[in-house]
Amino acid sequence: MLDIRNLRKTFLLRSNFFERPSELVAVNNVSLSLQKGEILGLVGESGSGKSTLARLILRLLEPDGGEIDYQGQDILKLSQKAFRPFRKEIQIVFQDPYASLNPRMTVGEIVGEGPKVHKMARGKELKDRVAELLQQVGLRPEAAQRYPHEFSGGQRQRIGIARALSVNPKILIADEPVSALDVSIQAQILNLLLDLQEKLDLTMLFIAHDLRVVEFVCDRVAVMYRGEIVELETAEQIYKSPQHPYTQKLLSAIPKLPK
Amino acid sequence: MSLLQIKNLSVQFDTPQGILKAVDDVSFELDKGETLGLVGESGCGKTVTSLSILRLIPSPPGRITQGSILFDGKDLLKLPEKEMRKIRGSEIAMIFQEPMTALNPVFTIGNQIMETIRTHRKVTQAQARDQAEELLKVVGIPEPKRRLKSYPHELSGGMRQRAMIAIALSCNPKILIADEPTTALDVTIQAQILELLQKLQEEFHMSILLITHDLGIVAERVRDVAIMYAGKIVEQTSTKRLFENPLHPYTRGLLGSIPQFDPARSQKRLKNIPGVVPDLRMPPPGCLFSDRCFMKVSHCEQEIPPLEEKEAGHGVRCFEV
Repeated sequence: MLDIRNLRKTFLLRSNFFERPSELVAVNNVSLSLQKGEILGLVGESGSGKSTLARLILRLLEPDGGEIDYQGQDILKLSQKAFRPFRKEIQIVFQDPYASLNPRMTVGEIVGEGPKVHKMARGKELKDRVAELLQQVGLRPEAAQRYPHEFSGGQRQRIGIARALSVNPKILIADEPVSALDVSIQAQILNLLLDLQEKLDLTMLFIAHDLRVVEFVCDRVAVMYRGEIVELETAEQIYKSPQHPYTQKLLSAIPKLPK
Repeated sequence: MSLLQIKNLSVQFDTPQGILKAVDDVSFELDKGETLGLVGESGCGKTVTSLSILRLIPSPPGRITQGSILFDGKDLLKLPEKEMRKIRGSEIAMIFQEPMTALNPVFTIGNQIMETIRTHRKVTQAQARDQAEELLKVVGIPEPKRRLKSYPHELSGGMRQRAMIAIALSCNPKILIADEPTTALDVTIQAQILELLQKLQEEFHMSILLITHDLGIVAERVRDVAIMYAGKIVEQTSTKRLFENPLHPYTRGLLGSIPQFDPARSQKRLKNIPGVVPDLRMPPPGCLFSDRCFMKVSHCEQEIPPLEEKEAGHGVRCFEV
């Protein structure tokens, strides 16, 4: 579905104006392919390059090298304008539902913005579409008139999910979608994502730092460490016989519940 | 013999929308050298409880409306502020969730440790510096001499939390309150910090009040546990019994919400708790968990269940258990 080859991104860090900037390789020759209909997990600790990789796929950042093949095209080679139709195919749900929703827009405007920009619906039709989307993520249609601050963290994340789904994407990138939420709310959102993935036949890249969550949600898991993918296996294999020492370390660090 | 005894503590806050009961009739004991886990989700009152112990509740708008906090036989709530200052940071110390906001960005780590030492002990600057260096060594910060001169932003998250622990340990506290000490950290660093706390507890014979939302941490590190929901303790027992026989529907829901590895993949969805925490400014009558509860019966919505011992050493706040 999506083929990533040798993707690379380097940031220049300059702590002092007079110094020569140092290089930080955030994503180092990453190759990864997403199969249609699967949920691929991407785990790693902070600074491992997971979010940078997500942003590169969405072309929110321009890579230094590599290819991303989608439907037989290298989407990195497209101009911004030619890329626009592809934008609605790949959507993202961000980590922090407090920071990723514009506080000055109503929920209806937030969820309806995508379809409007892509000229998918307008007027009454747009309103109905927003109501349908809100219901799909477990919110009441009346929520459309309210502002993000009136909602709890879990509800805001539902709004973020509705926004991502508003343009009928084929691929959904979920970047730490539950790590800012309480445990009981996490479970609600994870279940919702799994339901939607099944119902809408989505392909998902699920980014998280919590291996417990990733193992539960995903079919395959890629472990990222210092900008590189060090292990890629089925969720079961990763858990049962982790090969890379870093994966082993991650697994053993998870606090476990007694059986 | 319990070192800290909290009895019927209630704390409320005045808000524009009315009075919010953040902590309601909470009682527990912390034994010498032991660890008690206080578990709950955001807004359940666990942090307010711990701040009450140190008398750090901002007032107004906060108020401790009833209860007592006995430490070594003294009621901390009745002590004059001057006496309280001798205890705060010295006999009872606290570490916080986000070390970057808890540390002062414009002073060096060494400065901040020495400040605590010199507030409570009569020592010279040089002695305090030596002690600070020793403390950094104890908490496992490499090159302690050099790190004394570092500012918080020059340290990684894990190192910052170690520096916070060094400050907390500087006066040999009898009790350490750790409020979500590892929530902001990566799992591998989290394991290191929890290990360190356990080691230091044995070395310094401290009691630890560990506040967390992670039942996994509780299972591995804590002897006794109290589960809080919406300001009240809903279940209180030993960790062993809690996992063998969780009784309160909220505890059971929380346990179900944590993904467990299952190679057969028999479980397609997590057993979650529906709904959200009630607004504590307008609490419903009756049990605060009732609108999310799968065991609810009609009188749950009229009466507040008491915290009762359902078996020896196992308190549960539920009519239906």
